[in-house]
Amino acid sequence: MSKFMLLFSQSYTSKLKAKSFYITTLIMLIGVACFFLWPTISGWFATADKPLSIVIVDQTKENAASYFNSNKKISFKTSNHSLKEEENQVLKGKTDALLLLSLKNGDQLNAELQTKKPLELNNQQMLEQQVQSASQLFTIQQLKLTADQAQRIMNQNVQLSQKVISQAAEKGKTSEEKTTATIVSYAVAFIIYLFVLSYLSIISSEVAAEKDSRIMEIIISSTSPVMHLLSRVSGVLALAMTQFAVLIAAALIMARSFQSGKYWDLLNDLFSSLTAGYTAYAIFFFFFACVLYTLMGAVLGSLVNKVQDVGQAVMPVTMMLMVGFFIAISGMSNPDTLLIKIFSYIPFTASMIMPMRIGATDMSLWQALLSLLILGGTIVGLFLFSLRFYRGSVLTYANGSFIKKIKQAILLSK
Amino acid sequence: MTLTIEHLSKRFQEFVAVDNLNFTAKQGEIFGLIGQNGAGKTTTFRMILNLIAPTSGAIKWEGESVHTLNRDWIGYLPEERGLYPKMTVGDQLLFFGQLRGKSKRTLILEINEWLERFELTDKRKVLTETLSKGNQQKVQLIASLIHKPRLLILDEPFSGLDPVNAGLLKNAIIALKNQGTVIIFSSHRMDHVEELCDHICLLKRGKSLFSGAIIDLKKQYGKVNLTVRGPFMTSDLSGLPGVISVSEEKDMYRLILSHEDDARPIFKTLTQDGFIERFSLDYLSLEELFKRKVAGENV
Repeated sequence: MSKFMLLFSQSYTSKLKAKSFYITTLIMLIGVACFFLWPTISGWFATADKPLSIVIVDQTKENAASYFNSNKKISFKTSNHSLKEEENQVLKGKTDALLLLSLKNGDQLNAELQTKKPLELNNQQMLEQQVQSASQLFTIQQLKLTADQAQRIMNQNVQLSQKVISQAAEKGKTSEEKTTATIVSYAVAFIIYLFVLSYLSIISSEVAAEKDSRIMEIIISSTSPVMHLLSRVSGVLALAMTQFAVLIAAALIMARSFQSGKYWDLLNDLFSSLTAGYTAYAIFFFFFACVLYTLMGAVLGSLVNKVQDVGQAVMPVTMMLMVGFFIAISGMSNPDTLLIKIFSYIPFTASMIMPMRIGATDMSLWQALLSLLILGGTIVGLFLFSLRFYRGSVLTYANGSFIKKIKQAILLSK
Repeated sequence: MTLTIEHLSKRFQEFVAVDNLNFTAKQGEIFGLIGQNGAGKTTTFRMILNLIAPTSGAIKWEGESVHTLNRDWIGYLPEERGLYPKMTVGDQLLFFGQLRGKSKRTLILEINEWLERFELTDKRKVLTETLSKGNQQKVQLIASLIHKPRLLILDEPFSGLDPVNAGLLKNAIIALKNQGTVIIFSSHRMDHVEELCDHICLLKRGKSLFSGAIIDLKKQYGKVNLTVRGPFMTSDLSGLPGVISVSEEKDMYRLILSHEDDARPIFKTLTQDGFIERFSLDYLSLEELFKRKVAGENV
């Protein structure tokens, strides 16, 4: 067995066998299961809810109450009693609310809601919608249109078809394609965020612990610093990919078996609408992000003196990761902003943002390739740079800023 | 096999960690590197291990640059203990042995043998973190020599060991010496150095105060260490010619003479009234020599 394989397998298997790995994988699996079982789980809590009962007192004399339709969440009832009596019913708690309809300026609908206690936000919004559409119907009614005319107004719907007429431009994507890509890209960004965050601290603590306990000196005196760095980075990457594979496999099995395969069909639809190019880019960006951040974790781990200092050392990297993630979230509503464009080229955030741009905007693919090349170049550059001081940094136990430590480490590496 | 250090220096910007160091460690001998904290011992070891590069000078193995020395032939025990706490003792030794290029099959036999020798057989499947400090130290030592190195570097190997275990360790080191391993070790404990080493290098702030055989260092000062037991008073003794200092140690007096030749007249004076129980003339101990050397530099 070569020394690289020895170091790699030691790094990989020791963490694979660790309890913490099982626990985090289990928690993530529970998370995935909750996602697929969500309708069932939310059903457990929802069955207890009774629909909101609302009594309508109609003073319009135009039968405006008929525009309110009961559904699972709200039931409307038109009152035959006086306003006073109905108010008493509300106060006694027999009905949840009283909706008083009257006329304003002679031909507009006016609605007032009386409740014993304030309504929940969700119910408030539903009622507002109902009142809004009732008001529209009421106004149409006032215009004395025929039923057929009224129906045509209500059902009118227009589809905006888009056509790029310049010869050079590529065919634009439909908004539906873009929305799908946005959802998938959000998932990619989220997975990168989650994985990098957990594996960043794993690798930096591993390197810091080896440095702190002087095992590092034994290892690099029998192999080389390059081999140590590479074996640690690849060991942790292999671990991350193992966990990722377990989660994907579990997710696919769950999608197939839960909810009678509803999610399986949904995923099928989702992925069939994605192009092969998009999928390839997303995978590359995901993998490159893992490599970049693992490498940074290893280098930061080599610079601190004690394992306790690791948290503080990786803080700036965590910040960068958060910035990328939040910008990716902002892109969900509008992926065409300048902010998104700029950050899709910065290597530390590109992997979370570029997949969204590829899928959700009509940019040309050379931009994605450029961003990927910048990311790859950064990884190679960082690797070469860290080799210059890795040997020194694992032997330096000085205090001071990172810049000072790097300088000292470079000096020692000479 | 010989390790030769020639005009070795290491400078970190303004700070001189090692200054023009020269010594030779030969097969069949144990070489001791002695110095206070910060004297440059660990820096010297790191240069021999090729962890850091010298500013100037050369480190040679068999007359060739030390870079040609196969890394699997080196054994290294760092000053602070480096073991994986969550690994069992057996796996740990297997890992470090494989790291030095040995196969699993040969290692398993060796591991059992060494564990038995160090009375650790029952700890083979135990997690390293649960061991006592002394036992961890023993595991660390086995890890540094399990692959039968040709050059063994031990940085403070005796720290944290009780006398029984220190004895076990000494015997193991002597056995390796007899098998032909070149051994260099550093220690604060002069009694260990005196017992094990033939040649030493005294370091102070990176400079070598003495490099050579211990006996040569002792001869520099001569036999000026005199212990006597008999019916004397301190005042009787301190008045004698050539006596620098007198100290009472339990039931004896210890006299430091300015010169070896002062001993004869003192013997005559003390025995003129007849029998005395003890009169013993010897070299200074290494610890005293070390203190003198270090103090002498301060003057």
